[in-house]
Amino acid sequence: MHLLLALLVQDAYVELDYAKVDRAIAREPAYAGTPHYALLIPDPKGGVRSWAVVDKSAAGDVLYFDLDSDGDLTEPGERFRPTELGRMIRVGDWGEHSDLEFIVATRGTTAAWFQMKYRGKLEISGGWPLSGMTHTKWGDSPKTAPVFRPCRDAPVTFGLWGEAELKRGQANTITLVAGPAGSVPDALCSVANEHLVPGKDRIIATLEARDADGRALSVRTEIKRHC
Amino acid sequence: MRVPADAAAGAAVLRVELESTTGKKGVTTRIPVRLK
Repeated sequence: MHLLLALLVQDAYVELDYAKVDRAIAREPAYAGTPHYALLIPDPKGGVRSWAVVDKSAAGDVLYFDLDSDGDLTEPGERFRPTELGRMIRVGDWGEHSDLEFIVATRGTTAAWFQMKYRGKLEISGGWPLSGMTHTKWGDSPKTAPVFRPCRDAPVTFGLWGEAELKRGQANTITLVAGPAGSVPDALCSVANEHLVPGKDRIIATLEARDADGRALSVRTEIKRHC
Repeated sequence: MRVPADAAAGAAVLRVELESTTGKKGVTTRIPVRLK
């Protein structure tokens, strides 16, 4: 019974053809500076989607977030400013989800990073790269915007947090993020560690390399420490 | 992860998989890395 239930839950998730995702925004505000776009789709079936736009200008950063997912970013209550503490923008409840907040980047190509509690419980954040120590680049238009799938039921994919360099002849610490894939390899979301059950949801990392003579070489490691 | 000393320097791949007995699905992810 438990296995059947698990299969039914997993089957609820629908992979999207991101080339065909509707990227139209019904109404946009007049931006003071340069807008940066991202599309968040937490709905397993892809039906509910919300645009996030960070307007970066000399007057200060502003986030527009489509809380009711109707495509209209000009509505009252969908314009947010950072807290007095700095770069954090608290949105709060988003439909059945809660604690949505964005951290606005001060440099680089990342406009912002977000975190939330999926259905009020599971922490999910994004976007994360396939490898590296930066966050997902947001688009300069809806057409180039990354699509994030902050969803509990998505298949788990992985990213390497840190430099993608390993030293030969010694032990290397590998830090992975795990969670739903997005529209591009560098648009991962990360689920909180309690989503994966130690000993039952095992993460296996295998290095595929060559030796000096060109022979295939493989090193298999289980990632046991969740944090 | 201990990388053998006799591995050739240069491009390699870190393949990451989920082996689950809880019903979760995983997507095998191939991450390009460099060996130094």
